[in-house]
Amino acid sequence: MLEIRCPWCGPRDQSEYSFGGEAHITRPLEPESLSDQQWGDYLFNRKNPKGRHAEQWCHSAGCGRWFNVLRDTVTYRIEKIYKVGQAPGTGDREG
Amino acid sequence: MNTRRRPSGGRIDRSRPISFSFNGRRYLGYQGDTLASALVANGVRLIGRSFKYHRPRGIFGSGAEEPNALVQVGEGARTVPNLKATQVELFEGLTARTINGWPSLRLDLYGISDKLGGLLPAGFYYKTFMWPRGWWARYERHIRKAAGLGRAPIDADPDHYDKRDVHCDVMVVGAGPAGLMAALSAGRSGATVIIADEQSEFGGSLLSGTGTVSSQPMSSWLAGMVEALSAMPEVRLLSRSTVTGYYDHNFLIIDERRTDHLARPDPRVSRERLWRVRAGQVVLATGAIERGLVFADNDRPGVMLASAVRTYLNRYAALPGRHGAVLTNNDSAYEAALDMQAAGLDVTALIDIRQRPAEGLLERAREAGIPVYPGHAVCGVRSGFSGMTDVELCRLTASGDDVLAYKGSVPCQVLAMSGGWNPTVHLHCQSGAEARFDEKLGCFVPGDSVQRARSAGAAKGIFDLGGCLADGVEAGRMAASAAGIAPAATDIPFAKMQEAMSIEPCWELPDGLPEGRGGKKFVDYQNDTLASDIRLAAREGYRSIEHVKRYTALGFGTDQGKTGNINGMAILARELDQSIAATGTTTFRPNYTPVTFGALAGRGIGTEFFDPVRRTAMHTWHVENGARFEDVGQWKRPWYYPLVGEDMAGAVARECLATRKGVGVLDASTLGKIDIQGADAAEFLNRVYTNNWAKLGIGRCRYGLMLGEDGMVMDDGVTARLGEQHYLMTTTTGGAAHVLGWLERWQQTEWPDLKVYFTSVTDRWAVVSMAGPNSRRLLQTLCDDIDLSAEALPFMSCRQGTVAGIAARVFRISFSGELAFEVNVCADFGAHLWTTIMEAGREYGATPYGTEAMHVLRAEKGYIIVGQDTDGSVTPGDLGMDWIVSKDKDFIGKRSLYRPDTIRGNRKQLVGLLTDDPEVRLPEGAQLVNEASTDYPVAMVGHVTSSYQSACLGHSIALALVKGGRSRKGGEVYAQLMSGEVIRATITDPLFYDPDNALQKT
Amino acid sequence: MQVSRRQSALSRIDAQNTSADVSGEFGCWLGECQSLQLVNLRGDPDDQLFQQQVNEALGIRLPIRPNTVTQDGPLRVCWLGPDWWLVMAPASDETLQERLGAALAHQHTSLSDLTGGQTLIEIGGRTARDVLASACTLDLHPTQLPVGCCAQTQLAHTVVLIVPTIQEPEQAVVDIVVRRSFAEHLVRWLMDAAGEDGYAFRQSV
Repeated sequence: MLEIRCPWCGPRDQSEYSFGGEAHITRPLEPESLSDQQWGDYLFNRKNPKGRHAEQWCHSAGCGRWFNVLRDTVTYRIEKIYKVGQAPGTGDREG
Repeated sequence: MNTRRRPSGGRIDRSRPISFSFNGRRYLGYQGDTLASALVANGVRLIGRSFKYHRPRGIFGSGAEEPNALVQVGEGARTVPNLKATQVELFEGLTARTINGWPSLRLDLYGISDKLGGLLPAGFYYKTFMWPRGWWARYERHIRKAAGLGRAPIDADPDHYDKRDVHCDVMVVGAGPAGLMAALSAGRSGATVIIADEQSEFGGSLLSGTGTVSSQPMSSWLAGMVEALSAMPEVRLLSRSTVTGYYDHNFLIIDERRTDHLARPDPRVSRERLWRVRAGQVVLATGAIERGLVFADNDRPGVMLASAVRTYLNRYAALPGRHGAVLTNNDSAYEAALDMQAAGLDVTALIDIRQRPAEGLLERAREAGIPVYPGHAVCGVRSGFSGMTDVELCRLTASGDDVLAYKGSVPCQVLAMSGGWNPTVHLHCQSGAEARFDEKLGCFVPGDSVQRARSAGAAKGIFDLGGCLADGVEAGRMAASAAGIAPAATDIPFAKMQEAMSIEPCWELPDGLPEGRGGKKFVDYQNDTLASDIRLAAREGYRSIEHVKRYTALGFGTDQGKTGNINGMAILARELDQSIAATGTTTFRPNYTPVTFGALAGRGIGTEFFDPVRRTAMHTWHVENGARFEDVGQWKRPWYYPLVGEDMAGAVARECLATRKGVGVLDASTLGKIDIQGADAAEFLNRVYTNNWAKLGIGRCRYGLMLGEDGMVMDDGVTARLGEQHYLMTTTTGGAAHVLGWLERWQQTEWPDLKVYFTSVTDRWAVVSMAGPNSRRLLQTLCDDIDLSAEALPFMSCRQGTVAGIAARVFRISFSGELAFEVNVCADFGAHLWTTIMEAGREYGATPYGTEAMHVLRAEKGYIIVGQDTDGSVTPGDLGMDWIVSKDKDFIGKRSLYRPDTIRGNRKQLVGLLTDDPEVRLPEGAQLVNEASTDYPVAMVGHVTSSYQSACLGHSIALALVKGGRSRKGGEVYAQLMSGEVIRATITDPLFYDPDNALQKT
Repeated sequence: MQVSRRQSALSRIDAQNTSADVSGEFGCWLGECQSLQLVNLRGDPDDQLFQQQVNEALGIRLPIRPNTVTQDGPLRVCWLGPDWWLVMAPASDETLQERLGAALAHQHTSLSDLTGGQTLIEIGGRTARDVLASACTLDLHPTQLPVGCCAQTQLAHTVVLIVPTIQEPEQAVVDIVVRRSFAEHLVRWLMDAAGEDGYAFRQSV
């Protein structure tokens, strides 16, 4: 059970959050101009790394805000927590 | 009466005798005894039979490490199998039984497998009983009976369980010398501290020791210590509380056993409480567990750990024998020998495998009159009817690898042995950190911590009392400091310090005989794993310790190899000619000791609290009026309202007809409702719904379909425009939370520039839906400030006004195809609105109807239910709903509607199905095929999604998804059921009633 | 005039309303506060005008610091999210929502009346925080969640707002705002968790 620091509410138990998968996937501005391949990449293809992973979490049982977490998928160590719209890895080091 | 009880001493309360039974015989013990100590005191040596060979077994350890003395405690629903007798606290009336041994413990017919031992090597079952193919099931029944490990209770668990979430600055695991000092020094610093210990009282090794701390007898020093800790308001002391798991981010689980030790517990008190701890810092003062020595017949009743012998002598004042010997490869067992002699247990030999033990030790032993045999070993055991009588000695070669000479035997009822100590690194390793092999100590010690944790005392390889006390103080100080609290000074209590304990690791003692000829050398008692099994595994090609574990069963079972694992790993290392460090350990996983399912389930036992139950404002009326309920998401929704003597089919038919002919009343409060406000609300709706929202007028409603980005239908519902920038969206009952999260996510992460706010108002509004030709007339009697005429309030529009004297929103929308109105009021007035409508509706035949009738009515109209007629793989096109998909704008999922897979011709499409026989109803979920055939496999072309008996139409109807179904209207499909029955059905339009949609617009 | 027709979320709860411990004591009490109006407020905290207008309409400042409460007598505003607040006021303040609505009419804000959709349960007494800890992962220690703070979290598997109102260990009181449909579940859970040390349920507090 992870403990994740909500950028607004502070450290809370994982059970208060919902997981949103890989972060920094931007919806194409003109989907209809994309090939099937390009749209398929946007829709389905994810990095799923062993190690450092930028992902989205939402404090769904709290303030309801989405934010980004840089987390190691092997050690579960959380390195960075930063807000939506910020560049990957922005913000203070956790822990 | 207790023939083996010392006349005085120990921590038992002799003023409180306790009567208990073991295998049907009554015995006497004292308050403070464990079942094991009471059995020792009563001279009971044979406790059980082993798992595979059915060898007689006795008590081996004194705590969680016990592999042999497994018992079934209690009767009926409260019986618990496989408890370790060493951990069962005695209480008045306790009943315990041996877990295996058939037909009885003393006469165990399966004991034959011991004689066949040579024929039952590792992997025997796998190798033998796989032939002939398919017979495993027959063999298994007998093997399982022979290898039985207790019986699970058959009845429902009568107890209740509690959970508690708790946070602390410092969590101290273990209340031995190091843990107590750690808690004290952290507590004095002002940290919030939890200290938990698995035993009934704090003290750890102090409970079994003799001697002094800070010039006080151990027991009085301990009492003062516990008192000092108890006096600190921010230190929580938990005894009978095992820290069973150490998970990510310093999350630990403590299983507190609260009533198992009581004869008559208060029924209000939960049997167990599971503490879920989030700790700032963790101090692992988990101590160390002694390991045995591997020699011929080392499993005979009477062979015990030296530490266990000390515990029985000192803590419980119980003598495990009248005479005995000590076998060791290290210094620590000398204390056991001295304690035995002091307790009047005649020590016939102190056998030290080492050629040259320290002179000081030898001196002390000789002073006590104990004959010492350096450079000797035990090479065999002689047993009588109820256990060991003698041990056979041999002189070892200088290398210790072989027998130099046999030296006869000495009388020995109890052999106290010590193969060294294994720091209890389980939690350290569970936390994700490594254990490192320390050659000097001959054991695995904790490597670097990877979480905010540190080990202290014996858990990190400090084996003397003085050292443990000092290390505990330091660990508590450092933990407090790391938790951001200025540490306060704590004096280190004075106790005897020792130079580093001397040990010569010895993993297997020679007996001078070829493999397979001498007595069995047990490594893992509970699983009957022999040293020769491990060697066999290595010879057969197993290299990884994890594989050897699974092949030989080393380290499985309720004790998880706490005494035998390291010996087994070392034997494997030697066989593979590699270091122990290179061989490594198996993975330490939670739980440290077994945890009951009840403790894990907590309040989740049964249905009341397993998942929250949501009730509408009208719930009490439904209950009082006989509704049967259906779970929809977490909601309890009235399913149907049977009259006296009416079955479900009858009730549903009556409710449907009453609605179609008069007026039906439905509690629709559970539909998700999302209040949407903001200048960009319409634009937002345009992006999340497939259809166009730009031109919806104020006071008008529109049906919308929401897709996932993959183009699949996700949710649907009616959204009303209440004001210039104000909308009310409804969602499916089950999809409400998901849809709100969906909208928030898109707004926050993708379109933060859109000015729009979403608020869940599901619970704010109680909703009564009235459907049927009389609905307008009924509503008219309760509402005089809204013109309900078709002209003033047309289909798909809404108004604010007053209904039954309550401020209300009235929506003219329909899910039944009838003229229908939905009235929303503040939920506080929901019950009032409902009862008022039911009373006023009497003259219009108002009939409450439930979700089943609602389903029938909507299916007659071919209205889908997302999640029933769709399953996440259905596009609007598949549903024949292209009419609702805008070509003029982008929306979530639109691009996916042009992917090769979504435009292929043979997708499953929503159709209606009519059976030949109007009375026959297709089962929902039935797979459909084109031809009735038993020539399997038969190609499946679709499945039934909804199916009902329509009272109004007089025949059954069904909705189905069928490949290319829309072009097959008039054609036939077959539902081939599990029963073998075949039902033929004709494909039709998915619209059975009022095809022109005229009624709902009247 | 509508009072008699009005039924609060827990007014018809079918549950045992007291359970004493061995010594006949009650470790905690719980009850429902039935005379509140609850208003959900969304807006941009960086917009000074918005803050000022709310301030004028309510007479108290919006709490901008996460998880804090501002209060003036029975009127409280709780921070729920960076652009999200809950206004709790006596039902008797009939013009509150009009005032707010008028003040914010031309702002990008959202006002939703949630009265009846959520209810406020009070739990107080010696064991109150322990009972809450039976199903809440939040750190409820008074130093971590003092009076003046609030927190949205999960309690008994439902989302709630927790607002401590009295700190004293023996008489601690905590307010819990919960969705109406979950209220009975929550109270039953709390009663079950409180049973061991005794509780008293009061219909109205």
